[in-house]
Amino acid sequence: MSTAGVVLRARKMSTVQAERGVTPPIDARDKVLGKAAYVDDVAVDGLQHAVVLRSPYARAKILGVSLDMEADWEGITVVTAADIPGENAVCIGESRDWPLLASKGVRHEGEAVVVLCAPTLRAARAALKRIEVRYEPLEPLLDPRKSEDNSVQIFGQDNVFARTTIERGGPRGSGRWIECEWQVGAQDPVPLETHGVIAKPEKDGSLTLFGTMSRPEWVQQTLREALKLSTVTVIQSVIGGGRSCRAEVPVQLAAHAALCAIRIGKPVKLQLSRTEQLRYTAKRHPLQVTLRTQVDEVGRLHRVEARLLLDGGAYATSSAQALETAILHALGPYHCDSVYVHGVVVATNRPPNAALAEFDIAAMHFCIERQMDQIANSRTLNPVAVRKVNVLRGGDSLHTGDVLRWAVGVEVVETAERLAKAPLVAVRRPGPAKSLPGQGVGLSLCCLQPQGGGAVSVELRGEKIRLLVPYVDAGEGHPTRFAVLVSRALKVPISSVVVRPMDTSRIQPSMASPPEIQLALGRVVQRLVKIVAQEVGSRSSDFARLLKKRTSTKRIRVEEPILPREGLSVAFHAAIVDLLVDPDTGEVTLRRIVTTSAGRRPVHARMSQIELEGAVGRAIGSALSEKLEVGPQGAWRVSGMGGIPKAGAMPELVTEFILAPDTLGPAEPEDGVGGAVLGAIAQAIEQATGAVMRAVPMHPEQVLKALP
Amino acid sequence: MKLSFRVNSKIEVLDVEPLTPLIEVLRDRLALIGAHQGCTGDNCGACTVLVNDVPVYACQVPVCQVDDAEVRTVEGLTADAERLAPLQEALAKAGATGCGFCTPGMLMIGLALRQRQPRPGPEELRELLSGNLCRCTGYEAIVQAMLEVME
Repeated sequence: MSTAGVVLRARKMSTVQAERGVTPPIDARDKVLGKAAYVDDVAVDGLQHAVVLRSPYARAKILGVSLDMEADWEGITVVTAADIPGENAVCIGESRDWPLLASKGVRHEGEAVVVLCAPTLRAARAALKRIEVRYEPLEPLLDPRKSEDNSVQIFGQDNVFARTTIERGGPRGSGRWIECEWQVGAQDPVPLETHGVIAKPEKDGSLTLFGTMSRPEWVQQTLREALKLSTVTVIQSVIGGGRSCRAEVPVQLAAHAALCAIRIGKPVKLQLSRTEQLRYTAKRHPLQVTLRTQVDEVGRLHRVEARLLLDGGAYATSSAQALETAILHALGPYHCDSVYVHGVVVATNRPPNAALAEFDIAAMHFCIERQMDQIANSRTLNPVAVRKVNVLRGGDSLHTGDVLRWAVGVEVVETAERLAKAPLVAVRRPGPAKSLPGQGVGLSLCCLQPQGGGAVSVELRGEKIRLLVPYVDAGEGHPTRFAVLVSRALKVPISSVVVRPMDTSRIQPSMASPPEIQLALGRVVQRLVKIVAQEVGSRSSDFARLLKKRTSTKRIRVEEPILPREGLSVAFHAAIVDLLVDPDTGEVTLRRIVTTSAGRRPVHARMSQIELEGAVGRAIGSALSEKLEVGPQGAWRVSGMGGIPKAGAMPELVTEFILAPDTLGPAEPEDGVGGAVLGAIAQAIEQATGAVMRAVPMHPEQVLKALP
Repeated sequence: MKLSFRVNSKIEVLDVEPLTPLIEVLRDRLALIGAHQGCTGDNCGACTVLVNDVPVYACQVPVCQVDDAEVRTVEGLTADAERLAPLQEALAKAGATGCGFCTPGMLMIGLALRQRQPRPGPEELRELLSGNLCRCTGYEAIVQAMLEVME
């Protein structure tokens, strides 16, 4: 059961009851009819199917690749690294260390060595078995601590992909030191649709790629450098979830499909199997954190020293970005003037991990929230009081030097406390009779760096308004929010607003955030009104009236650059978790999660609430049900899709949004809630049983092991 | 093997390998792309269809098992795309679609539960939806939309 609606509370406490289901998502109709076109739903004439031969070893030299010449190879095309005309590298920003196909050696289990295509998927899979790759296995380095020690060198001089240190203020003389180690394991984004791409050669020599790619500019760059292709168009398909994980791996897939397609001059599809997706694709960087905090008698932070170690896997890809996110959130929502933060991402012979902002932020918050609990324990203080003493206030600066112009940490936690006083739904999640109840609180802060870049365009065609926006949606609903914004601004029905999916032939890719895009849309719409008014010789700003006067059918297109917002975009969250722990089995039953979130006024409150509930679900999955085990050669052995909790495991959800002044750069209210939930679950388990949970995930066996 | 079965009230006669998963026949032979292959491992429920009104994972059912049976997919929920079926309308209006990949499977399990007597209450509904995963919504919007139709 969730609250009857989303209550939007302005800072002055005036309330607005958001209507439920005001505007359905603009793509909902296609989705409920089963007509939405995901990659695997698209029929293409002459389509060939590609598959990838992957290394069974974590670290090995490649001695040779040979085909079984007794097999029938007609209609089958085999591509190796030797067939790449340019640089054999996946372009992830500045990073170029990840090969499209391994040539001399492999650095992780599952590394792509050969790609082949055939007229059917079955024929392609059969042919894969007739290729032999001869390896000389080497001792793999799978432990990030050993990598940090540099006893075995697998990357550069020191195995380090990225390193950052921030120091502010000097050591303080007084207060008690508390030192703890925390660990957060990998997390699979578990998109329901696996990554997939169709590469189609065009008659003019260009190539079109269609699929689950959220960073089209990386695809274009990779194909320019590796395949010497100057004209590459990237079009997004409908994407089955997990936007952030659609960045790195799909670039490599796109290149694989493109290599085959260019070779044979036919369209080629490459879609990962679920096993490939689970075992070999990018996860959240496993994180180990040592936190030393010096506090006074009320638990106030006098000094924070944090050492972060991230396992980057075999190739750097976007590890530097993951480290940047972890460093930025190293103190969570708390303030301290005297700080030392040191972070390093090291190489191991594991599949490469990637920057996954939602999960990276949550991971760091688990650590800092757990530290706050141990601060409270050490001084016999109330954990909520310790948080209130330290939480950021407006005008405080972060350890990075960024100044927060607004902050409502105290308000979000007090609101959550008020909501959590309501009686639990008695029939919900009763748990075993002997279960121990626990309640925990967690806070989180989400900081997003200003991005900007690119432009939005609006086209007036008759009475239709078409938006061209550099955003790749994977189900978060931002296109709907863009359409709602424009329809409200112009006072036209939302049915007359069309949002085009990402298509690089029409839209220049950009990393701009949705709030930045929304601001640009606001500006471009104002310009459109002025242009139409000028055309019809009116001073009115009533767009509907202007349209009625308009006799010309000429298309009008207006473009507006997307400017980076000034300073960080931030959102604050508090979560209060009620749960039961079975002391015999360690099983955790969630009963209720209350969240309060402060961010910008949502364009579509209902959609923000659903997004937030989804993020809470993913945090629950990573905390309690996801099982990622490391195989002997370092790839993941995953049973099922436990990162997504089942409907029956979901607790009662209570959600409230607090509005922040929009002029001060807040993020969407749903951004970054997962960290608060992770922290609150751990604290609630500790409250119930005394078990100090030092790592994510918190499966029954770990709870039992931690029992005092 | 020649098989005959009804799909969304239309008789289909196909020459097909008997152990081919039903999902492949629906998608590749009959161009019914609504049911999705999410996991191919008895796990996510995105491929849920009804066989003789019973919800099944189409990735786990060999097509020979539906010989002479009635198969219903999301495409059979409404004959007129302009008029959505009540469950479709409810999920769309509630914004309970997210990325949409699980939606056809959710609709089919929802239809099966709606046809059941007595209809499930909120807690039982959550338990009964546990064979269908949704990553985007946390389920609450889906559950509430289905309850509205079931009431």
